[in-house]
Amino acid sequence: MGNSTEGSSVGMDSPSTQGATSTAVKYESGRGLDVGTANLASAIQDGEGNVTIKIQRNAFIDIDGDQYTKNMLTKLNVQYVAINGKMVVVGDPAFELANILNRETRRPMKGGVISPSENDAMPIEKILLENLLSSPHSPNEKCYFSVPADPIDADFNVVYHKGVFSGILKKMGFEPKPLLEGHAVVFSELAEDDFTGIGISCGGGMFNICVSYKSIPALAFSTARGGDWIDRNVATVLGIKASRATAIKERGVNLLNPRNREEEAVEIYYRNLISYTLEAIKARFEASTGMPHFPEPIEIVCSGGTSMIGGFIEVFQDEFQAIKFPIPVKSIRRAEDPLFSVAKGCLVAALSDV
Amino acid sequence: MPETLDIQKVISTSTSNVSIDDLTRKGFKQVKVLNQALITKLIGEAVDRVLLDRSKAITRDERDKVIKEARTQFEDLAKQRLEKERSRIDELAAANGALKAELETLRKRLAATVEVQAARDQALARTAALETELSGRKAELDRLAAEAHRAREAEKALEALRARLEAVEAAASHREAEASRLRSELGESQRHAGLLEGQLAARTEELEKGRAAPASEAVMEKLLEKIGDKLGKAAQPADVSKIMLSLDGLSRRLASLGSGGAGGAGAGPDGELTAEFALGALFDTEKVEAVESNVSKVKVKETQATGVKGALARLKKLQQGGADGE
Ligand SMILES: Nc1ncnc2c1ncn2[C@@H]1O[C@H](COP(=O)(O)OP(=O)(O)O)[C@@H](O)[C@H]1O
Repeated sequence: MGNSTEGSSVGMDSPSTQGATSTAVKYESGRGLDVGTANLASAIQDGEGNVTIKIQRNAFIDIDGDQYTKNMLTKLNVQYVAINGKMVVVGDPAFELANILNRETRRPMKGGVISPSENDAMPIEKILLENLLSSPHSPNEKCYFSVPADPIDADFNVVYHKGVFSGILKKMGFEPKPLLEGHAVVFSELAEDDFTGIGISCGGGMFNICVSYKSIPALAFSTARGGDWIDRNVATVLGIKASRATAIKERGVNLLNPRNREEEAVEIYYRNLISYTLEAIKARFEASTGMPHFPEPIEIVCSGGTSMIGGFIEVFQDEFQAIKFPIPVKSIRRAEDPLFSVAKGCLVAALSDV
Repeated sequence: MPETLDIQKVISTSTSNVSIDDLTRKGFKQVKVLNQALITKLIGEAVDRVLLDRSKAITRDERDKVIKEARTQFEDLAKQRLEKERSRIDELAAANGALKAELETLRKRLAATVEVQAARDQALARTAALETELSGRKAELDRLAAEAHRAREAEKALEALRARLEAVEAAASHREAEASRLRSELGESQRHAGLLEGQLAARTEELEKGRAAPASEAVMEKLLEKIGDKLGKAAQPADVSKIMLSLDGLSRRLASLGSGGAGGAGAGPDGELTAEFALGALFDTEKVEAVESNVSKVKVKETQATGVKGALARLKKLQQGGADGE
């Protein structure tokens, strides 16, 4: 790999569409992109080392609309896309609309990867990415984007998904570089330990796990259970819509102290999800040959929206005590910016690749 | 009463008669003479007085005695009474203590009952949640079984198609001719999928003969990159989703085949060529459809995150082989 110390700086206007920054900001060459099931997030670093994150909900909803509606939506700061005459609202407002209309949003990557059966997904993803990244600051600027590892409990292949996003990024003028989501967490959170340890991205559609030794992934896999799985099960138990279950879960539950039946249901499924993940790591580690021997106890770092709930780490530690884990672990903690960890890890990879 | 005292007799028996001459000889010149009656009177008085005194003395003694007795009796009574009171106080205190202890036991019993009730409620809630989860799982299992069945059916259909194409391939000597024959044989939209299927099936066969997995994945990725590229241009071709579904199935099979294989030769230029050809055929005839959006006009959420300079420096150091510096 190259040994120049910093990425080349290119003078450009801020990629922000707000137009608030009138002074030209210099950005380092290299982008990080988190292609998540719930959120899309981009990361970029300026000459001073400040990291800016842009984030978009990876969801949309169909609406009926005419030219008047289009104008109104633009005035209200609501993003829409019209394809072949059909209209969809994208991003956060799609969630609000779903709640108002008592419908569920459409999630192009609900299951973990982009679905070939979701007809409108690809052009929408392309538009969302264009808005997050704008154009490259230099020809073939590297863009590291997160991809899920192969799932242990679902039947899909990541190759198609990787190909689609590589294609979109290339079309936009970037040099696309896929990076395992769990590996990205290692890059952003485990520098102090020389990138040795376990990174877990706790997302909406899946959990991505990466066991890394000196920055090299020794074991990486994903499970098809995440925040959405909790929402679905809580909804079934309580007889409510999944979007309502999401709202209950995100409104400030503390897993150590559920205040009512609904929060108790959230706690039960969180516990189940965490122990399922730990058992999976254990099983995979024990089944694989050629695993590195860790001379010292390692750290486990959790990132992603699903790790943000109160008491997550405590419950994780609790469930950890309950199983015989095959690797000595010194501590378990939450990432500094749980929602941006993957984007930042991709950025680190991009900036180091010069 | 004692016998009456005869004073005269006492005098006469206790006195002696002395002659005056004798008295004179002895030196007595004068003698006092006491009248016997007076003496009797005096003695009577004296006796009376003594008797009176004595009666008085007896009475006081007796009185004292009585008082003393009375006092003793009183003190006894008082003591008894006090004793009685004291034992009653002890009794009351003991009763009070017993009541307090009983109250405490009752209170504890109440607390325990409340706890048991709460634990029972919790257990019931958990049981209910778990039961629902179980039924959810069962339903999911059923659904998955149905899906698996459908997948098997689809797989069978695909197998049949593949067999047919292989037969066609074996018969033909020229690849171009084969492709055009296939194109004419299949319908307008099916034609593209079928062609691709044929090319990929050939690759699959090659792989089955023990060729490299990673290389095939590379071909697949290249292929899909191209698809993405084309799709970018072509927006939303009518049959693209059908083709994508078929592609996904193939890529899955290819990957599962590949994961079993060992290292070997890479993808030849021939493979890439055919892929390119097939993709060209797929997209060239599709018309570009309109996509309109205001996304670029709407501001997107923007936040500052903590920097990555430290992590970047460490990674570069590690990449240069100086990891264990400190
Ligand atoms: N404060 C919160 N408490 C609990 N869950 C949250 C919170 N915020 C977001 N989530 C959940 O996190 C998930 C999305 O996390 P994210 O890291 O963006 O996923 P992805 O990487 O799949 O896009 C969703 O299931 C969402 O409900």
